[in-house]
Amino acid sequence: VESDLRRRVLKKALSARLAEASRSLSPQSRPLHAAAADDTEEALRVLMVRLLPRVREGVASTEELHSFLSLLASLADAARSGDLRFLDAWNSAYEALLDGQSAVELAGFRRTYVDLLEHHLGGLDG
Amino acid sequence: VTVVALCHRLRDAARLARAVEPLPVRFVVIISNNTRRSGAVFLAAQVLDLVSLGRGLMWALRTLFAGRVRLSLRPLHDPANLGWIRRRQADVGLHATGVIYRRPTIDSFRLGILNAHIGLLPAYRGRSVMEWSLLNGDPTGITTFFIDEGIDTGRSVVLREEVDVSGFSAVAAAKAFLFSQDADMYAKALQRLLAEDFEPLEQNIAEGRRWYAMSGLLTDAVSELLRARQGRQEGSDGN
Repeated sequence: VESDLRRRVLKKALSARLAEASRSLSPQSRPLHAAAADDTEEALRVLMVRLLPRVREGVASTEELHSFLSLLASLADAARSGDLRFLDAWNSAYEALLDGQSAVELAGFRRTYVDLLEHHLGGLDG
Repeated sequence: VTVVALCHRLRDAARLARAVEPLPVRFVVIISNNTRRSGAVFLAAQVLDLVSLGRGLMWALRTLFAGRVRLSLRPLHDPANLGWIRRRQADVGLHATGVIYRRPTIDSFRLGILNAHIGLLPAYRGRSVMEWSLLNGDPTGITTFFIDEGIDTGRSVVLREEVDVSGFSAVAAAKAFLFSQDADMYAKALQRLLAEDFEPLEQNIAEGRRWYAMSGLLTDAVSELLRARQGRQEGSDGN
């Protein structure tokens, strides 16, 4: 019962986010591409501790934004795993980029994020 | 045993004192300015605490005048503050400052600095650990351990206690409840340390993960989970 409840709540949250993130997605947009991180734990740490707060506050430099998106892309494979910390890095990134004044091209980010959400929702349906 | 409460606010010192002073320890307090705020703002916060302490006001005045409280406009790691701690031959520090400690600060205590972490170690190190525990279907709780320079990686665990938060319907309230338990956890941990047969539990950090601040999306999901659990519980209580 408890695990069904958690699955239901998670599914509802991810579905709502998928609907929101898909809304302004261009059909031509391509996913972000980067080689998978060798050390996913360290990449996650740098992303969440160093870069995310700066992106969220809207003070990240162009280089930092580039590193932020590259690190995220390098964690896309990990974000498909059952370790929800990696998918949640994408959730947090979406929230930070949505709220921030960033002028970076986000179509690739959005495309990959939508793919990840669809992947997880497929797993929750199964 | 000399115990030093490491605080940023007088109200935290008073809260810890209520729990720890009944124990057979010598309890002193250092309240230091660990933020970039000006000394005036820091002092104003202490005055505000003093007037709002209520029952704790007499304690605060007594300890202030007895010289058991050091109020410093400088950060805790300032040499003058560390010197003050060392002169008291401090055995244990109680963390209530919100800062990460450097090695010289940790080494100023014979046994170390205790931290009441609102997650069950070794599985849950880092941030939003209560939320992650709930989302993963694991028990919530508090681990009181001697810190090192890492994030919740201190090896010596004194107390590990499950604390149920199913009575709460919002993440913020459940978390505030866990944080409010720190004084009691410190008192229990000190009682354990004072016992002759005390043996610390060893934390193997390879058995756990570091967690990070949870997104708004999943935090809202955890709140919904809490509400659903509470609704189910109330339903079963009503039957």
